[in-house]
Amino acid sequence: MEKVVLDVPTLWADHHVLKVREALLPLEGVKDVYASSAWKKVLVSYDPGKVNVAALEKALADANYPVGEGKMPMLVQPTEKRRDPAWAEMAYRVTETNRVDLEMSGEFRRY
Amino acid sequence: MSRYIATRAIRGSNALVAEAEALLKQAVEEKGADTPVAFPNTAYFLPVTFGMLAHEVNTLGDLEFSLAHAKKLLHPLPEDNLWVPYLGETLDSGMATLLAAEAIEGVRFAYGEEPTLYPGLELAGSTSYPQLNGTGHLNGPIDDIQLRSWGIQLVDGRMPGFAALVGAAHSNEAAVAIVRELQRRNILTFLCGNTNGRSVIDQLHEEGVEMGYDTYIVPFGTDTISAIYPLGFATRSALTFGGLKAGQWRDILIYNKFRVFAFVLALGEVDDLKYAAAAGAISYGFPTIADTVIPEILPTGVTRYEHVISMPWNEIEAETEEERAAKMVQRAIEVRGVKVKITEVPVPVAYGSAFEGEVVRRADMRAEFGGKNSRAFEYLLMAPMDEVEDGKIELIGPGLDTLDEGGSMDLALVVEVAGRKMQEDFEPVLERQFHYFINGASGIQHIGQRDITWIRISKAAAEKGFDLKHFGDILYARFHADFGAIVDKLQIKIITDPDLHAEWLAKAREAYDFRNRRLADLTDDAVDTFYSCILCQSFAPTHVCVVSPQRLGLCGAYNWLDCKASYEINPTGPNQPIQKGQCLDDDKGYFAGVNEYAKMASQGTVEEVTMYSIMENPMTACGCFECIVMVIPEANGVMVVSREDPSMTPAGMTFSTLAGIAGGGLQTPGIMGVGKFYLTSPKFVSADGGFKRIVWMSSFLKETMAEEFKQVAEREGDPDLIAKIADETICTDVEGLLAYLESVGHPALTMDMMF
Repeated sequence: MEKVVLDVPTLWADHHVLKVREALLPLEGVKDVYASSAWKKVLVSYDPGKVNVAALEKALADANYPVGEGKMPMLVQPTEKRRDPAWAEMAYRVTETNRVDLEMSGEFRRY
Repeated sequence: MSRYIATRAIRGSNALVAEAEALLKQAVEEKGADTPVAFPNTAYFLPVTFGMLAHEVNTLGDLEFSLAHAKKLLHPLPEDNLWVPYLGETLDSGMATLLAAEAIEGVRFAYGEEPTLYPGLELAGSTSYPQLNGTGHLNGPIDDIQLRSWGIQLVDGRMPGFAALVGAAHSNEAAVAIVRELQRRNILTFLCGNTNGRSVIDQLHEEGVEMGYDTYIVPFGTDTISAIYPLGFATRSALTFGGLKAGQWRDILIYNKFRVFAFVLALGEVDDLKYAAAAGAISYGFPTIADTVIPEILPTGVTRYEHVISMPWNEIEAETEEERAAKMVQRAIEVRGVKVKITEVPVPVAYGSAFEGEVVRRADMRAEFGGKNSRAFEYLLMAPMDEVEDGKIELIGPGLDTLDEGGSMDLALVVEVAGRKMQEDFEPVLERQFHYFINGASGIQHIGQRDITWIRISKAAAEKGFDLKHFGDILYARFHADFGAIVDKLQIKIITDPDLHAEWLAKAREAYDFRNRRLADLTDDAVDTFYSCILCQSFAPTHVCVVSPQRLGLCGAYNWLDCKASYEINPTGPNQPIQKGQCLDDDKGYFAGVNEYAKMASQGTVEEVTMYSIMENPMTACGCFECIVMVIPEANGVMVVSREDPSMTPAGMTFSTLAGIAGGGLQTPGIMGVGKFYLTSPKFVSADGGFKRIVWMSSFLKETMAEEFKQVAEREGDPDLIAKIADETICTDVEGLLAYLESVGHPALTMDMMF
């Protein structure tokens, strides 16, 4: 039994974990899979007589999780001008401290 | 603010919004922008999107607006060297994540991929889907029916809050221990997410833990995206009970911070999406407690106390998994500021309201009392002080050990109560508590009341040592804890001896009969005091229920006697006496004292209220009503829709949609929320013509209250009246309704015009 750790940059959430396991576990020779969305890595225990790393990588690529390729999409890039938090976009914006906030926000504000 | 957390939340939100966009684009190409998108049985569309943006999502095309808005809330990653406060950006990202997650669930519904299939799972109560029957699938979003039926428990403190468990616990044993600890505190438990493909749902399923609405454990989905459902539940709480409108995002979030006690338990590793979703939860004031090592956010602010807490499971000082779970849950409720009252009940099984809905099936049954093969009854009576020995619990007759497995036996639970403030009127109020008290024990099922009581003890409970005497222990502990103000002493007889059983049964039946006659004599005219119920003001701040002998509370849980007892128990509590005062209009039910109280207690929102009219200043409603009564002008009558009925009505709206108009403490002539037993009262909309005005009624009510309605029909002088009332199986539109009413000669057609 051998083990291999594969980098999968597009494995960033647990719904991807389900897909990655679904892609690898049916392969003959794959004994165990630990897919970590926190570390974006997959640890596979496999029988080298029945399956090899290339086959594992192919299965992942076919499932849209290529090894060592891709990255998490960032829709917003840093610019010179800092973006303000966009709460105002939700609706009108109250710019002074709201009375209700003061009343409801707990003991600590009174001191 | 933690840069580590901010970075991950911002990154996770960017990625999820991008993924949702791609998914939506593909879905629109494949299925068309007009493809319907809807969560089941809700009037709030996709509730987070609806609550935050006032945007109604009905089709795939409508999701484009949600995602465009989510994109506006995204931010770039924090720079390496520049220290800025990241809180605003993180909260923006959290909200963007929620909008994207809800859009993804919407697309999944459009594809028929929700609820998630889960072979072998049988839910004890769930959202209903046309093609599914509660087996072989997870719950998906909670429907409005369940939200409202939990309403009264959420406001009266029986259900102090909810916990969203995301991921998988350290072990199956730990998962069970955490959930049992939450159940013991009656905290609703919502399950979602996974760690390495294993979800806490899998762990509980493997350990045979029953999940579903009835056990307060709701499995939503096996990924973190389904964590949107608990937040949809929270959003709808504000819209349903808080009288808030869609788009009042700020008020909805503040409402949740101060009124909905919820928290997140992150079990297992935390990835970028979990950080992003936790940021969304923080916007609602819900903190996250993780069982792994993660950075913490300790200062107060958006949440009431700490925002993020790390409690690595293996570092919790304890000897067993149960102790670790207890410490973790205890820490979580401290961090959230949940107020939990636990009554220690000395029985060998777990105890808490969360076990109330548990069902003991015949195959799992050790013994039963009542039902088809035996007679069980319960009787509570007042006794003089010197005749009651406090804490005396007697088993008179053969015990459980004499019964074969699966056998049955006659049983009587007789409780004698003494108290300086005890009154005979409180006997039935207290007796009705047996059901809730006994059902709280895990593995015990209690159905019915009086002499149609039916109790089952499961094999599992019997194996843990549960015996008949423990019924006495439960009643003793709970009556003292919950009704200590009126119960000074109580003694309990558990009778299985046949002769004594027959003797007490005769006495009990005599008392039941006396109470029935007494209740029949108790009319609005015969008393000079009504009671208020402002329990729900914790959720619906301007709603005031006025409870009279002939009009029980709209939730169905509090009648006049309950309120009277509640006032005795807690004189400064939510049930206050209202002196009727001068009667201003006998017909419509205007009373000077009631008006004055309603104005004061609704903070001036309600100026006048009628007790018996739907057309003029009807009573307000919170959101917990059992039924909605609404005028159908074309039919010159009213329809009654039950909470359990998801079908279309002749008003062109389902219960869920109607509830949005009837609830929230608003006074809307022509529509009101009521308790179902009010329908049988002679005072039911008596100013507008009474029961004969009902032209349409949910078949659920017709079936479950057949006996009561039969008597009402006779009282109204038309024994065939119920058959003349249409239901959803006959028609769901006005044209069909009018045709039916004419064909059967419904009396409403010839009554005075309502307008």
